[in-house]
Amino acid sequence: MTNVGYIIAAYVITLGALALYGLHLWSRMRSVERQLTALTTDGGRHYGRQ
Amino acid sequence: MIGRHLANGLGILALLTVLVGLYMAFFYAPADALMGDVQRIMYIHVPTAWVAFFAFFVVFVSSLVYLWKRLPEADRLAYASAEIGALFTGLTLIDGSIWGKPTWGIWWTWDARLTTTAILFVIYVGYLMLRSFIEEPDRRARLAALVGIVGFIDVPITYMSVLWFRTLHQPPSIQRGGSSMPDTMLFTLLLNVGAYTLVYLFFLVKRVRIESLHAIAETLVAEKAVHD
Amino acid sequence: MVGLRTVYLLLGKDLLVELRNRETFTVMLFFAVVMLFLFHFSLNPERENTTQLAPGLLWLAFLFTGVLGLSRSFQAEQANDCLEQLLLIPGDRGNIFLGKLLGNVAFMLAVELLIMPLFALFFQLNLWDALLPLLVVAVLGTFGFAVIGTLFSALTANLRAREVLFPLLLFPLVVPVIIGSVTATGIILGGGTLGEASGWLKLLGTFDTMFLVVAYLTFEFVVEQ
Repeated sequence: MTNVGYIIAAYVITLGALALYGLHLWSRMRSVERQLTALTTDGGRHYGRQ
Repeated sequence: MIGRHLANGLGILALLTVLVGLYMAFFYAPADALMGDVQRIMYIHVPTAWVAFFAFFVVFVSSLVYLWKRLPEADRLAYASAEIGALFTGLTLIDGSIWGKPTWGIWWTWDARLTTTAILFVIYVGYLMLRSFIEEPDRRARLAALVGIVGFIDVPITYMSVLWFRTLHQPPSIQRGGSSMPDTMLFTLLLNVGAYTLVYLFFLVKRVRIESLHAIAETLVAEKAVHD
Repeated sequence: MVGLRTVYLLLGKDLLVELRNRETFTVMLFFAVVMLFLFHFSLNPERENTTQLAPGLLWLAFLFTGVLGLSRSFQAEQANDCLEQLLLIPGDRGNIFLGKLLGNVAFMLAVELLIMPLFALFFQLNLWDALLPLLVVAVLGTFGFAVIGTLFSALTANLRAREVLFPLLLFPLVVPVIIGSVTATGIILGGGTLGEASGWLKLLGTFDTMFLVVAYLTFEFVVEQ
């Protein structure tokens, strides 16, 4: 591998990993927000009934 | 805690700074007199190393705050910083290894900085594994905080002992950018350090928020169970 | 300031319990013997490289044996809820830590004193001439290892994965102790004086003091109920 190849590899791996982690956080955020919406509307209905 | 739009703004700022930093790393900064273009890895390796240790400092401070004030927010901050810090530490090791191969022909070297980083990585992993084995939030926060505090205090003394060990066993012929740096390089380096610090802060804010929301969700689930 | 009476009583209790059934001690000793056998078969040290390998092997034997004793130091208390009883003693919780620490150091040193002649025998080394300096290093290194070991042993005592978590948390943190002890032992076995190893002894001393204070102050958070 040429020397340039090494630098490109390092940058790609690092930036790629960071981007993947960012995506991971984004998907976790969406799933917990969805869970909360479900819980609050559900709970709202329950309280309404009582 | 931090508004949602402010957090996203931070993310955009981080992304922009990273892009500027990349441009500068490849086109603005000159090639190194000795090592050539390979040396440009420094502009991502040093920032990730900085974040790796800074994140552990954040773990340390929030652990102290937790033991003192017992604020769950402090524990969430410690956990988030540990997770992100571990990621950056792993990346630092990978980048350091990739830098070593074309520069000195070896994939790994036991120099003081890389060795201490490897030990830091294991401490992070230990911290995260400890957390994963405790269910009760209070106990988990308390014991994790202790590991965070003792671990952080240990890092400087570990670095010094490895450094003395190295000077014994290998004369310091291998210096990483020891000579003074031209201003263009220094400026590029500092900007990239800033860029990845912003990335860390952005991830941190989001990760803490996920934990807070998760905690609220848990409380709601528990309340529902009582009502039903 | 430091409740010496509590420390003394706790240390006495641990020593007495151990003297009566000698459980932990015996296990540690035989484990050390097994380790020495393993070293011989896996490394097959010849006369020439024995002196190079000796300091590291000696300390590996000390530390892996030590982990056995350390991990058990709080498990005995679990059995009859002794820990709760101990916590009722008035005064600084750190004193409980000191009592346990001194007990652990005593056990480790006792086993090490028995490992050394065996080591000398199996690997044809002369440890007798350098005995006093070696003991100094052994005490400093063992103490540092035991400080973190006792603290983390208490920390992991109730956890389900304590057998793996304890060494995982312990070993990265005691790297300075390992480096200092092995290097100093190497200097001494190579014919050097304590003075020549003084830098490393200072490293060990600093580590020991610093973490003794940290552990004493944080122990109460470990055993909080």
